Amino acid sequence: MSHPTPDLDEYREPGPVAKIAATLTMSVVIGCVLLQVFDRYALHMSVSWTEELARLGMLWIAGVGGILAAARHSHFRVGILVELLPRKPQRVVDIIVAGLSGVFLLYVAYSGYRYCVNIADSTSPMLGISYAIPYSIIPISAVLIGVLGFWQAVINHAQQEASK
Amino acid sequence: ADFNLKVAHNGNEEHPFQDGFATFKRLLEEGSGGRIQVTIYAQEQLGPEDKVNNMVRDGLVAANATSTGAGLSPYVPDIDALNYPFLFKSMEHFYEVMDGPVGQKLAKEVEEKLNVVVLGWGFSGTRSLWNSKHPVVEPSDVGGLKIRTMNSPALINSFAAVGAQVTPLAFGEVYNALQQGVIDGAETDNVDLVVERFYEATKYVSMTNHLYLGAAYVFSRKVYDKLPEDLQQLVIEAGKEAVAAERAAMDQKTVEARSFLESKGLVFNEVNHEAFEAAVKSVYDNAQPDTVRGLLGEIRSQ
Amino acid sequence: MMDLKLLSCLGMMVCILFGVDIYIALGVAAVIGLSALGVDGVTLLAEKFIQGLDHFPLLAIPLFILAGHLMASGGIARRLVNVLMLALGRVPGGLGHVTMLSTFALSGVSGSASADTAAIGAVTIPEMRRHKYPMPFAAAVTASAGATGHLLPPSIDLIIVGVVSNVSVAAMFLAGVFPAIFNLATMLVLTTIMAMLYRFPKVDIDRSVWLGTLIDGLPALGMPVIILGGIRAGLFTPTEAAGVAVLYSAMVGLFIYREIDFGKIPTLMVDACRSTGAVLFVIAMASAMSFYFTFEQVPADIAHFIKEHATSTVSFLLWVNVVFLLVGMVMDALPALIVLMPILVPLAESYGLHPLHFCIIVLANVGLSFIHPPVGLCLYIASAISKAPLGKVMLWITPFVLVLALNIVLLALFPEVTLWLPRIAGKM
Ligand code: NA
Ligand code: NA
Repeated sequence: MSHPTPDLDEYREPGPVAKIAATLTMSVVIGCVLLQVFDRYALHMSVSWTEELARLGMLWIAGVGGILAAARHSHFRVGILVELLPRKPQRVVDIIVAGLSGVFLLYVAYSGYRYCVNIADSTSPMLGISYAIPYSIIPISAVLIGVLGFWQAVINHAQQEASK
Repeated sequence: ADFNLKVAHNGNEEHPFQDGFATFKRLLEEGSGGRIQVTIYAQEQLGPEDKVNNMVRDGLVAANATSTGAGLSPYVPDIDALNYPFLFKSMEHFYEVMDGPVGQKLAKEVEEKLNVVVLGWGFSGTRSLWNSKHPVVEPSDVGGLKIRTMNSPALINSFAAVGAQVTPLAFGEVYNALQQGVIDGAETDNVDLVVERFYEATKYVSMTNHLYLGAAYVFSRKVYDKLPEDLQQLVIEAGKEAVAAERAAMDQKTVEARSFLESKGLVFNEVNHEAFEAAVKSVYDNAQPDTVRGLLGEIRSQ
Repeated sequence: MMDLKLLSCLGMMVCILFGVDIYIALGVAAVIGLSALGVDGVTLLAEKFIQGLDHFPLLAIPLFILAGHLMASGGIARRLVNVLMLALGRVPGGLGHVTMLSTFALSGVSGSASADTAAIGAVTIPEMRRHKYPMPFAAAVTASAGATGHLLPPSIDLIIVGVVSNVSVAAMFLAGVFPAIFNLATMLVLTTIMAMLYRFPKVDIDRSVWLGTLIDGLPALGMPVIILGGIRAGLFTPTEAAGVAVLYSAMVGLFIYREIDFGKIPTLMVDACRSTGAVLFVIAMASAMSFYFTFEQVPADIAHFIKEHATSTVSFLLWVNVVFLLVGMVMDALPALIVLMPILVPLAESYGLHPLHFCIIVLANVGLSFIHPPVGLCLYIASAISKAPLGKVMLWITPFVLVLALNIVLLALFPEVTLWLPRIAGKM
């Protein structure tokens, strides 16, 4: 191919799990949106669940995307103060930040889990499914992001130890 | 104040819900001699009504005015019976049903599912069909119109049954969709037509009155149990007055909204209500589950 | 209670300064506040997280980003830019101009600033990368364009502000036009100056083969035609247009230009999903924090604060600007507007300001809040697409922020810029 992909900088091919998860969630949402348009002009079936499924699907795009972003360490951050610090204290701050973020994500996961339990017996109007099903992505993604963050901290630490 | 009660609704500050809660606030604050303070959150400030119902259940919010559509049907599926179009014959019929055994039965279900005290049944508006193309008198006039409806299976199936192209659309996208012609119209009450400024982008309001959307004034059981007995009694009484005040305001504002809309050039017309009732018969025949069928029969015979 | 609100803001600022992910910093602020509400509020965080994302129009973000990736990989973007550069190639920073003008062409119809940024940025940022523009500049110029397009009709922001302020939406649509064009003009000038100062690389276009470039670009030109035309003709909503854009760009890339194959598409989906995820997590947590501040009635307190402290028209406007700058830092500006505007508009009238004029000044302020952290969606989307570090993008966007801030002052001083068009159209 003669033309580079848009993300050539530090480009890494994503793994198969990432590809499947992203393709599934994105395709469902794209399918709903296109079906909604085609139905209006061509099919005339009055498909009424597309809007709802697309909205719930986007929650999954957020969750899967949040995990993917955590895996590449590409959630937004500024960190002006840390960059001013010398190397050693900087590493200490990094470890504290990783630890506190992990605690917070645990809280998000617990909150999401409790919310899913609370809402399990209420159903969405069009699809008629329990809201606990789509909303379960919140605890799932929070746990996975927390684990990824911990994993990265360990690897980072190991690499820096090795480079000494 | 000893008790700081937060109450919520999704209308704006001119909506009849606001009148209802203003009365509630006045009676509680005066009647309690300052022991209770009430703060009103209008306009979905705390979130969509079904989500605020969760906060009422948890005791974070003391009361909510919540419709029998998006607000309560996720929790009490039977309440969907009220959302069958062309069910109520008139405003009087609607109030009679809601103040009678059907209303009491549903209130009990709501109280159990949401852990609340139902203060009474208010009213969230009479919904009619409006569009930019032509007046709708007979069911056949709906044919081919692209219409956005509330998210209720019974309602969507009914409009599809009379030939509308029902277009699922988020409420927030309606104004743009009207303006650009993605949809020809929608169905709301007169107050929504005014408040959301949909009148700037549409023309014909056909008084289908297909839906009398009820609203429960729910009060958190957790908050209620913390109040001393005399204040509990006060809450119940103030709740009754609030509902009465809201109903009165709704009657008045519906009339005012119509004359305002007419002054803006909108054209109102009556519809052949019997023909519409007949046209959606299939939706009633297919009503599910049996509890809903039972309620439908009960309401129609009243 | 005041202490807790301050503590919550402070907690967020400290987290951000020490390099905590911004969405976590926002979440921490929300949890500090929510945990003290005296009831079991654990589930609130999850609920508000979900609610913040439960809007159909937000779908435009992942879909436009994916469409952009498909266009960039499938050869559409390059050909589109080649055609545009036939006209703008000689202007210094021409690709920046292309970005701004395209965002404007789209923002008239797309309805939301973040959707505009996603749609245009995903196409032009890779092109700026290809032509060796500094990536932080690419992100900055794209975000700034997005942050002012919301003044052009028929943007959702104009509708929301019109509705909550009880001002005619039709008049709002007209009032926004000249302020938006004014913003655009000043930013184009700024882009030219920056391009000359930093000697951006010249883009060499062989003008002698212009006809060939044009013909080769026809399927690519179909893209804007379908999006803009489809929305204008009422075939679909802006959100749906994003879905159609994905389909069209995939078709052209796969079957006409044949620069991508099916095997490439999952990789592009991962990339779009990742960029979107980072943005959506900020939106979701910001919604939790906004809820806390709303619950504690901060917007109402602010409105009363302004009421008490404004002594003249000038000091009123000054307070409004300061307050919106601060509000834009700790919460999403639009939810705050719903509470603030009904109180502020009558106050503005009592100071002799026309409500339309006041609404546009406020919206211009909201535009600024799109491009400054911690909740700055256009800024985040652009930097996610460019993969440039947020800190660097913030540096490069500063001149744009200053120009836009100066424009707000000018808009306030010269009401005719806003009011002339609605007046001659008889809408006021
Ligand atoms: Na726009
Ligand atoms: Na901001």
